[in-house]
Amino acid sequence: MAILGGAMLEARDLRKSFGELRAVDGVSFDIERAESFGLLGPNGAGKSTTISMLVGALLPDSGTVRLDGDRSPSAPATRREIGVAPQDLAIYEELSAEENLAFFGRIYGLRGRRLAERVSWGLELAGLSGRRKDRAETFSGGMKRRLNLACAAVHEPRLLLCDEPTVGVDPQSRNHIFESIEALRADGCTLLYTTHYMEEAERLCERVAIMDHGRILALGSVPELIAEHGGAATVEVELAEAPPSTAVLPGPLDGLTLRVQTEDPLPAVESLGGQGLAIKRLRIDRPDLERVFLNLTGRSLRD
Amino acid sequence: MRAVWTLAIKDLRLLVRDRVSLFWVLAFPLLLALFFGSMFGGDEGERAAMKVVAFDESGGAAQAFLARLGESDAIEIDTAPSLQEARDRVRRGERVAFVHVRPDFSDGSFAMFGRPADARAPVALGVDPARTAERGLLQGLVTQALFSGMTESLGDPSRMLDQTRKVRAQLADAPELAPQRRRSLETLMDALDQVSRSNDPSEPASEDAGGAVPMGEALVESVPVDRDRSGKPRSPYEVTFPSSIVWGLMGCATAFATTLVRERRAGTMFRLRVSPLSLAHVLAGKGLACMLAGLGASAVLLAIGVIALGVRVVDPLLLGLSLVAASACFCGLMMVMSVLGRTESAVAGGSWVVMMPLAMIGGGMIPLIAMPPWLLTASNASPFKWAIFAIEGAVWRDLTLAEVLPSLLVLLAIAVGLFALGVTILRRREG
Ligand SMILES: Nc1ncnc2c1ncn2[C@@H]1O[C@H](COP(=O)(O)OP(=O)(O)OP(=O)(O)O)[C@@H](O)[C@H]1O
Ligand SMILES: [Mg+2]
Repeated sequence: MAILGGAMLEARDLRKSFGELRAVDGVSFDIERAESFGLLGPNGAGKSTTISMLVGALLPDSGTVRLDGDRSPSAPATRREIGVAPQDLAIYEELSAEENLAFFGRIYGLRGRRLAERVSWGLELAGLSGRRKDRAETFSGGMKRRLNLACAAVHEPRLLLCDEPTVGVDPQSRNHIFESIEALRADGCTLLYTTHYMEEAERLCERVAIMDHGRILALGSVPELIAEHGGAATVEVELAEAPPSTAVLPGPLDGLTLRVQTEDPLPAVESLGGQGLAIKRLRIDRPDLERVFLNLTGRSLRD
Repeated sequence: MRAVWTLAIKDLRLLVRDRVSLFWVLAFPLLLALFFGSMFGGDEGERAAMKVVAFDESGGAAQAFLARLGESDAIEIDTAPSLQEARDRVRRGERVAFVHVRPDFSDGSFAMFGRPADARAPVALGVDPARTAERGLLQGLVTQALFSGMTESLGDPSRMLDQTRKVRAQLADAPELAPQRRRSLETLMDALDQVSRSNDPSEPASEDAGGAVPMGEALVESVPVDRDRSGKPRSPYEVTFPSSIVWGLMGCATAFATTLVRERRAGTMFRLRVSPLSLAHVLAGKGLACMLAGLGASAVLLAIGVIALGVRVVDPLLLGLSLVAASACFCGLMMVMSVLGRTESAVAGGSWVVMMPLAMIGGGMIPLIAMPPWLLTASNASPFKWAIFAIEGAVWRDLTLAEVLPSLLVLLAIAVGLFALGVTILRRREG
């Protein structure tokens, strides 16, 4: 693949309707080489539909996708560089873990020793080395999900698209998947990751696009998004006794609880301490992506 | 090509692991071949004899007749003490039929010629109504036993003359007989008398009589059956195995027709579609897998037929060609069936709806050689017929390549046409 300048993936004004429903309604973004990019949005936001258009599995009503310079996503040579872990499991239940990996490796052109190496790598990634010969239908949901991801990465793609790879996965498997993805990232793989868990986006993605109703509402790094749309932090102080009447409170008092909205929470806490207030409990809520989403849409990410 | 091969191997692996499909591809056709093969009966001797009960009121006159009836391999005969008992044994299903020999029976049965038109037959046959298949055979065997009584008399001049004398006496005693019938019977008796005299060594032979032959032997000559004579099925299995192979091909086609929707449902189609492979690769892979599975299933069925049941293959090379053409044809059918619905059950249901009538008219159920002419004409519309005919051509019909070629071409034309149709529809659907 020629090393060209420009983005690894370029989406311009993608639109897709299903009948009356505008599933994707003018989505544009770039993903730089070796970047990890997140699409964060609630159910039905249009994340999966966007991914399908990005990889050429679904024809957009309008808009363009360009990969690695100016190549179309449906050219075989481009596709060889892409891996997709679909949201709906896409493995052969009647084949073993090993056979699934080998089959997907082969259709991407891997053969012989290289194939064998990649298959072991995939089994390792999926944590299924001990069950390589077992059919996928005998695996738990989390194991299948891990195999689903490994099948997408077995051919060493330069761009990996993961569509909610952690749904229905226990915390331990989820952690395993995060580590695997971080390992792929370390090898220079570009990542597009969709999720409706803000912690995942915060942990894995350098930049995040917040999506709702087929549109991107905000796009930037996590600190940028929080700074721009998160609003102030909240300092919540529970007092042990009523404050002396001389005290100058920075916010309204509700019984013995004091709430302060501030961009900069630490100085605010210091000044409260300086006034000699008897503090029983102190809580600082910094804004997060959840808050960003709430501020942008008036709804929370998950109901 | 390598990718197509990879896809095909994967599909074959999935097929082998799918018990339900395997049943339709191998077990069901095999069961059909064995079931129909054994039903049409292999060697005569192997068939169980029909149990028949006789009640004889002739006072011994029918002894020879009943003995002759019992000589047949197809019949096992015993006697009952009463007509009621004989009838009951049939009603209870213990016997297939009862034979009632009435008091007016006289062996040779020439008496029947002079009988009044409304007189009862000397022998009555009651067959279990559930055994319709055997009715004709039984009637034939009983008539045969009666007739061979007559032919024996024909061969024995003194008995014959005795019989004709009896008939003439009866004719004289029957004034109600129509003159025309009387005349024809008298002519018949004259002719019989003449035949007997010419056979009688005590009477001087007329010039042209030559070496007289006993009548019974002259009527039917027994010849040895050349078991290896080509152009005829040697056993019913040679008829049932070709059609069972085609059932196997049909099983393959139905199994693979559902795999396309299954892949779509399982999401693996999505993976294939975003891989470097084109839709053409994917469909070619399916076609190749279907074809290989068809050939494999044919080989297994045929091997069982040849090794266990003595099915011959008179022309292995032609058989290979026929199987390739037939498998290809069913691949084409598979492609079209795979677009019949969007769910596995819709495709499977649709496939059976398409396949059943084709199988029925095409010799999948009634063998081609047993078909009435109109059905044989209708069968031309079914690929089943062409496939069975081509395979039979190499198995027992002993046809030449030139004779089978039209069938092969029809099969290949159907294959190409249907495959193209299915691919076009799928292309449009998959985008
Ligand atoms: N094939 C389709 N036919 C009709 N409507 C569709 C189709 N695919 C998606 N949609 C609709 O498009 C909208 C976006 O769906 P999409 O799957 O892209 O959402 P998502 O962001 O991936 O949601 P989730 O987090 O639940 O996976 C939804 O309202 C969905 O009902
Ligand atoms: Mg989705």
